[in-house]
Amino acid sequence: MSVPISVTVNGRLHELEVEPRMLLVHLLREELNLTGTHVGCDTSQCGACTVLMDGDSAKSCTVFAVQADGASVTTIEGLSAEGGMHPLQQAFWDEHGLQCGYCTPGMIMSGVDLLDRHPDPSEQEIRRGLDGNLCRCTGYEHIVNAIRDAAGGAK
Amino acid sequence: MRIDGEHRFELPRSLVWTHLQSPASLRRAIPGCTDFDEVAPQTWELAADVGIGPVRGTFTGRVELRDREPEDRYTLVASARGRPGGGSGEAAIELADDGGGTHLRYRADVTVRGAVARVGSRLLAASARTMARQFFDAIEEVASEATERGAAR
Amino acid sequence: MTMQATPGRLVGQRVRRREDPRLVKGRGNYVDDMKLPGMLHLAFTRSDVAHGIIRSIDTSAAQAMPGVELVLTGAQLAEMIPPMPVATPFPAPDHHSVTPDRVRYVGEPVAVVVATDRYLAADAADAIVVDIEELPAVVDPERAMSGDPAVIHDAFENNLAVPLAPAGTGVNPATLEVEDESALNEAFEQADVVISQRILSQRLVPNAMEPRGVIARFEPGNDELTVWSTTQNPHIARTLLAAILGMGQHQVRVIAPDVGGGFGSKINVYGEDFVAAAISRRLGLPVKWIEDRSEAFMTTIHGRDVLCYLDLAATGEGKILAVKMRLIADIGAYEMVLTAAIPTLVAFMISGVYDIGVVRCDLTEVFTNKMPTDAYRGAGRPEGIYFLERGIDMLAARLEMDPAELRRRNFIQPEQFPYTTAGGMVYDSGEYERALDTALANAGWEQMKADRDAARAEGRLVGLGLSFYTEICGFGPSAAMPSVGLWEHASVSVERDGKVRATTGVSAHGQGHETTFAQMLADEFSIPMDDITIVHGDTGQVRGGTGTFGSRSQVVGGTALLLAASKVQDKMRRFAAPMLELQPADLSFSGGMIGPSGREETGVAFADVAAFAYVPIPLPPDTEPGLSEEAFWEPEGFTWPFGCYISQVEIDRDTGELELQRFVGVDDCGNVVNPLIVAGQIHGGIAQGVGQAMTEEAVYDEESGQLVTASFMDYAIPRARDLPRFELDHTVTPSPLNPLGVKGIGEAGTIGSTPSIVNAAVDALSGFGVEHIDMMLRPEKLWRLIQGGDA
Repeated sequence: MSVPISVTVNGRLHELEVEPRMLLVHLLREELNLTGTHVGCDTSQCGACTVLMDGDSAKSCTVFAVQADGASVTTIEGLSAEGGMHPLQQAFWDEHGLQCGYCTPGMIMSGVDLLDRHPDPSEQEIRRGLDGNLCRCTGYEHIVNAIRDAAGGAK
Repeated sequence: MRIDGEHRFELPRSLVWTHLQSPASLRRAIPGCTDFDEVAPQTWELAADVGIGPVRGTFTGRVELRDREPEDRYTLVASARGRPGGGSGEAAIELADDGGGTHLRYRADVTVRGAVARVGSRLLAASARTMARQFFDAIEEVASEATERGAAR
Repeated sequence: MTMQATPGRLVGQRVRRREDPRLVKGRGNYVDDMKLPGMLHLAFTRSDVAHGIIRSIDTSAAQAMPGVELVLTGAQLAEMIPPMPVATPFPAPDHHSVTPDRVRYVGEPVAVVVATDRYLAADAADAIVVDIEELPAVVDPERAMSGDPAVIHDAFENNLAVPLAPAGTGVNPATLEVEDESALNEAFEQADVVISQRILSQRLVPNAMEPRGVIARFEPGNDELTVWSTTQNPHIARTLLAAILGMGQHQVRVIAPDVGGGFGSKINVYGEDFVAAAISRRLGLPVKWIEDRSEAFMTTIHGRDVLCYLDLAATGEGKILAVKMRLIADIGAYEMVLTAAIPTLVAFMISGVYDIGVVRCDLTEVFTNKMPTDAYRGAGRPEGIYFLERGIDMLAARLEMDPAELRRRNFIQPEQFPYTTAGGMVYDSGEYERALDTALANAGWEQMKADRDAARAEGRLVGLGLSFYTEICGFGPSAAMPSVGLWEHASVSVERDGKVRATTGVSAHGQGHETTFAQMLADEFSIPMDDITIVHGDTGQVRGGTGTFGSRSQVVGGTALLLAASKVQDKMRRFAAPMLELQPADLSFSGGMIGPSGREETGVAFADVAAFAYVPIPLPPDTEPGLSEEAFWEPEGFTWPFGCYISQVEIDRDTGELELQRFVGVDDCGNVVNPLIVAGQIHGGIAQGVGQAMTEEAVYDEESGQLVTASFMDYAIPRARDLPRFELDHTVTPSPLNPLGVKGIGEAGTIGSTPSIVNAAVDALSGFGVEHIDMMLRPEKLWRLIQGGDA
């Protein structure tokens, strides 16, 4: 009872047969071996699995793979070319916006979406914009700094 | 957990009582009920599809009606289990005349386990009250239909 | 020790982490990211009742499912795997990886399924029908001590895991006998003021963002077991796995790849790890188990849950005469590796930073139908400092004295170090008044107080809270953990091209050792950081180690690395000496050269000495070829970092919601290797302390024993918006106990922040006659206090 889908991931079109109950995050991790997208909870709170779907952030643990049929998905691996870094990836590195790194891909993908909607966010806008992403290591301050930095607002 | 509530029926007490004790009516009125088989006097095994907040699943269980004092009061003893966990409870149910209708009060003691407890317990009381209301509304509907059919016959 | 750390070029600098490029690009390698050929998946069936006897387990439906390879019940597994290890000196009940007969907490595993696919394994685990005869559950430790309504382990009367462990003045530490109570009694008789308060440090769930996971691969034929684990300490894991499986340590290799946080919760080797290893050995195939979050809530160790009856005796001038703590630790249903030891650390903290003549701590540990507790960030020290610092603030309120001034009057003075507390702890170094003054100045304490008073006059509920912590750190002398030892190991190899490969037995899972240790070695050898690789987290590559916990990595691991490096340096001097026709003792490292001290540029290149060491013609006398040395190092005593935290909160009068408006901190962790990483450690620690104070509490239902806070929907770890921007600073008081002068910083923030916030909340509500509020400070509780009701 597999269902055929076609989904573009990081610019590459995949034609796949998936079980209807398969989550997008498992499609990415198990079928496409894109393990940069992490699973941190089972109730859609932590945001470690955040990806971009047609340009908007989505928690890939709340999306069935079949719902991504026809969509274009960007994961952390597709955010920048090999050998380079997206400005947010660079800023997370520069500002020590990560420790264990587990929440980081989701945090960065949410940051991309945040900066897309608010190119010059205030500190409060950043903190509120991260409501859907949990980090247990950093206390968030360096993450906030990184997002401000990437926005060109670190002064 | 203690869950108390009440319900008003626009039907006479004897009729409400009859349908609250009738297997056919119970089967129709229990939310999501798919199976309902008598296994002993006043005791049934049943299956139902139920959702409590984010926790949904098929539960199988047993319902027994005890301490029956016709048209006044009885005790409903129930237990259920399914993939998302399970639970058990006892509800004391009392009926009284209320104008032309019937006033019903219930006081239930419920314990739950598994995902129902972990994730759903916060929503349990509200869900239980909703399901109780659905159940009583359905009893009223079944009883009204039966009365109308009787009247038409 | 003559070894000296080289004054830094890189040490002390904000060096960006070398770990990060792979992690920010999604190229990390966590346990769940790995697939092995033929790998099977495990799922566990778990008890959904808190206490009961297993009547039967029907596995037939699960076994009939296509793709299910094996189903084992606890009773079957008990024949394959002995009970799990405990490393504390107290008697402990048998604790099986999967319970064979009786369940004692919600989530306890009762059976395991092995299947070809993770979803299938989960389905099959759900299809197992477990019939449990329920017994009454007990979740309140004080109730459990009566033995009613349940005795959880038959051999432990009244659920007493540790009936009484006294410590402090008048207690013989060898026999744990109370020999003399006169000093204690006298202090309380002489006191002008006695503060007595029941204080709870509530139960917490560590919640590292990466849940636990394990892959076990037993290779039949060569009988070797490799385990990839989300562990903080692969070498301890290897020791315990080998012991429980009846294998030699040489047959077991444990690899900790990238690990997504631990905070103490990944010290233990858990039942699932032993089961995975045993099943892989039985089937000859690799098996994998990955915890989901609801399992993490139920079955990864919890933290804290220590109740204190505090008595504090003082003079009218605010001189503290004595502190007494009667502690009841609710350790849950079993003992894990360090469970029973963690609450004993509270007694080590009882004096805090104060010169207190008499202390006494009476500890009782109690079983309840909950997940076992164990080390969670701070582990015993947050409890101790919280109890003490709450008591001191209550004393300040009683005496109507500035809480900063009261603390100042009781500080241990710099000239008293090394200072031995009344409880027998030896503090290495400290200069508390300087840290206090720095914090007060940075905060603008007097202005803060004036602003608070002005806000109060307008009817706003603004409060200020101050706390001062120290903590026992840098674990430590092996005597503190005789079952495993607490030394650290390092090796340093200079390869023939002059590149350096070093190993360390500490195992970072977010702490950035690949960076800080490379900074150190780059300075020692005076070569670029890029020429150095730091290897950790693999017992196959790292010969020895203990692990990363107890704020010990830089203190113990860093020093072991420095020691190994100094041995290599000595050897390089012996090789360089004949090349330069100088004596080894005259040579130093600078600018990539080895040469006469002060004129190193006239010497030979580092890489040329390395090349010569591997082709030494002629070989210098009494010298082996090659450049590879190792070192074990164990500190002679503990380090005691310290600091001062000031919080400003405001409570909404209408909703009870508490806002943390300012947080000012001064930490002293001795010398700092990388300020960026130290800041990150402090930030994260503060956030977890804020979590305990404001948003986190693991709640079990009193009657059913169900964990009702078992997801991020009901258990709130702080979000970005819950925290203010931290205003942090440092003082530097080096430790004399290690050549780096470091003290450890991993847990500090967690310890100091909690009391400062609660002190601020109590201050905010002081107008309502509030003297103490138990955590967490949820709005409903505060609102009731404002309404004059009972919290």
